[in-house]
Amino acid sequence: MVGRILIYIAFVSVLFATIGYYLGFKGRRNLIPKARLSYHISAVTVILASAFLLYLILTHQFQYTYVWSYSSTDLSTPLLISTFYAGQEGSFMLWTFYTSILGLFLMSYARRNGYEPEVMSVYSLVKVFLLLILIVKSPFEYIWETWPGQVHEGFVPPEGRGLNPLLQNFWMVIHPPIIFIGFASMAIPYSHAIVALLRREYLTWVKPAMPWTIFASLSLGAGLAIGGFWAYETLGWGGFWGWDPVENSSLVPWLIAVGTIHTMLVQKRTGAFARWNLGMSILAFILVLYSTFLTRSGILGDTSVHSFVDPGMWVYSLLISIMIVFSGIGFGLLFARRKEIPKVKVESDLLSREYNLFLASVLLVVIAGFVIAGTSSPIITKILEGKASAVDISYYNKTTLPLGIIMALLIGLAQVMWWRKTKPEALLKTLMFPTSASTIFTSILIIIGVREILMALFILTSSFAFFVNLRIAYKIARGNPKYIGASLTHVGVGLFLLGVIASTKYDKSQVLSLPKGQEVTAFGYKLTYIGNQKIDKERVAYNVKVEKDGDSFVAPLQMYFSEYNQGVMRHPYIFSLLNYDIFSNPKLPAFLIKNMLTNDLYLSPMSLEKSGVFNPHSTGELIILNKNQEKTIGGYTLKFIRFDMTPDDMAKMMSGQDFAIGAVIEVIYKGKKEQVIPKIYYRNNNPMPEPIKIGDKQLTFVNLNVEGGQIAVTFGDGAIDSEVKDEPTEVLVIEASVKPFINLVWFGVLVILAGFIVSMLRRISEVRR
Amino acid sequence: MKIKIIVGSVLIAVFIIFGAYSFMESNVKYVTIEEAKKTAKKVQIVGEWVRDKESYYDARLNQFVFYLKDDNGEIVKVVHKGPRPNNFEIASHVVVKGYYKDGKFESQEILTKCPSKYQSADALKKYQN
Repeated sequence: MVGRILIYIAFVSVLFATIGYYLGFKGRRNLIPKARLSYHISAVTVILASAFLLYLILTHQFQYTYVWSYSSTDLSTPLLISTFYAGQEGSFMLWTFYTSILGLFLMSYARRNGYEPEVMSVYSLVKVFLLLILIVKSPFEYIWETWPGQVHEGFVPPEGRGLNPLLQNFWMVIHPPIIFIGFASMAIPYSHAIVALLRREYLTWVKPAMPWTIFASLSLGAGLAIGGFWAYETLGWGGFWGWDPVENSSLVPWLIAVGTIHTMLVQKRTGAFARWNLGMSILAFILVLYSTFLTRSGILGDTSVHSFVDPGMWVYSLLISIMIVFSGIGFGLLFARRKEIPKVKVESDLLSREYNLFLASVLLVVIAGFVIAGTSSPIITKILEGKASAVDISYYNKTTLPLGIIMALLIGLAQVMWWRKTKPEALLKTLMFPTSASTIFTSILIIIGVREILMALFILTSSFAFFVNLRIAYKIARGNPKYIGASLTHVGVGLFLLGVIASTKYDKSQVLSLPKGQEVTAFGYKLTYIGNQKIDKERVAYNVKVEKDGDSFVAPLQMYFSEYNQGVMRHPYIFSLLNYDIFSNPKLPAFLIKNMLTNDLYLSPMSLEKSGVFNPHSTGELIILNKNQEKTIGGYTLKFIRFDMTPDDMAKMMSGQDFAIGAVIEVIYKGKKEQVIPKIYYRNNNPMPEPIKIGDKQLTFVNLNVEGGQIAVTFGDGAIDSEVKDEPTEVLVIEASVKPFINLVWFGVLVILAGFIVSMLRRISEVRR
Repeated sequence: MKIKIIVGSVLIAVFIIFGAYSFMESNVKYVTIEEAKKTAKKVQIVGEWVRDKESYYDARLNQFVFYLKDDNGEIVKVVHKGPRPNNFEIASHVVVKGYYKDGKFESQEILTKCPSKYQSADALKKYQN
């Protein structure tokens, strides 16, 4: 009850704060202190509610549906904390928590700059709706409220359902908390834009709004980067980006916010693009809401690998209403005021910084447009064709490639442009070095083996962007490093793009079968599968010895059956500079630096096979037997009696361990009746049937349908006898790949984020002045 | 100024056409097996795994082979590039994405859809007498 009461108090007080602040702005100044107090009350109650939820999780109060659904007693404390935001209710709680705290900072910031009631009335409204979601979908619901009639009141389950093993790692602990700072802070540029429209001060608002826009981009960008690293490192996606709806839905608002920063710069200096900036700041937040709607409403349904839980009618309608309310307020006001927003004549010279910054902004919007159209494809096709279907990943690559090429070119050009107008001669002079450097660089790569025109162009423009900005960054660093933000970020973008091209377009991969104890060579490494061992109650590590130049290391590739996901989990092992086994193996760092500077070696497990036992083609003709039905094949009569499974095997099957299932078959041959029990052994969820000899024939039980009471067997002449008698060897099938220059991706991202931080600090100091 | 507006609108039009074209191209439609046989485009089929037909993973070719039955009851042999997918045994239905070619469906991606029994109170029942 405590949690719910706190949420209600927070809701009522923030509603009062919103109204109070709005009336305060409309002239009733005496209400402002009351509104401020109400906001503080709501912030404190949200913090208390969050602390209470954390307390419930840490003390395993499984009578709460949310706690029961995502945690269990065997989780470590950091993972236990991470279950706070493992589900929808908790992640909305986290979002509300951040919104509350950021609101306190915004309040004192706006108070200093003299627009507290205006901005807080808009911002508090966001919090009103977030709390409304928490009322409808409460993390404080009891299990007997969730399933009335099925669970009796007061019942406390001894154990929770546990956390999805995919989420059980360090990245889960830090990724969502950072992403949600980004989501929460995107409401601040929005609030500033609305205040500008309400106060009819269309020109000055960007100055105080800019640090927040950069902050929102920084936190969302950091979240995206960590998500990408997570996907690469643990989830075994094979890459850092899969154009998945969940990723796209954070990328799109980020692109818009970054685009806004570019034109805000122009407005701050010249007053131009006021309407564009207002629209963009509103759009970035609306897209955060739209993304939330896409990934939380269940509307994407069956079209992605992610499972999207249907949250129910109420949340669905609420999410739609929130989008309508905030876009209504934002775009409605913008439309109503469109005539009175001053139009400052833009310096329209092609060779001006203003013009190029605007182009950059437009380009980012276009990219965001393509991505959001692809992500929304299930909705679009549902409307147009009646049946939802998603676009292929190739759509994103196809559309973003040409735009990426242009973007990289612009990144290079825009940085050397002067405000107002650049003299072509001066331009030529500054572009001499970067142009020739990038041309030489690209030519070398073409000689080495880049054959596609678009790729060559992308390399050319990306390296151009890098060299131009490197030169500028170097000059600024020698002068006043405070101003290095923009060029640093763009150096990072150049590096990042080059890393993306190299690691995704020129990666090589090979599927290898590693029979136990036998050495297989791939990409200059000698790989040997040496056996497996259990790591904990579920996880199994398949150890592969990796050798090169006399150094050898064991890579534990994880593959196991997860009870939670009811499926096989596969985790790769990566030899890279960022491998954290360096702390436990002192010989590893030298090996990594020697071999992994330019290439990561990525090993993913695929399956474990037994050679020499099972090949459905060689074991004979496939025969389907129904229960108690006789079938005669070449003098033999076969009758399937029942399945044979020991309680022990049953328990093992339930818990996802290796188990065996047999079929009791009655065989009549030359008047002799005999009962045989051929078995299928399941090892790591792979069926491995073992044949049985009957007379001169061989019977293999290959497949089953429990509900149908049906089995499939093969009945052959035992030609593979000799092979079967051999001790079957385990064969580990893995995919080995090398990812060239993936380190550039990570390094580039770090440089980008560093640039964002420098820029943000600069803009904050400008506001203070 | 006029020229700029014209150039701008042409560029926007080009982008929209390019985007719409790529969208149509890449949109992978849900079809029946019968329809899949008639088209050379990438498609996806929803169906059930035919359990009494052969299904195996071939490590040498890195292929997973099984038979899929769609809602019309038609059956097709599926050759999937990659290992046996997660949750395959318990999947209530399977979605394959790829092309129909030479008498079989060459799948590039498999999605398995599982009955979400764990979402319900059933999982709780084992603790209650």
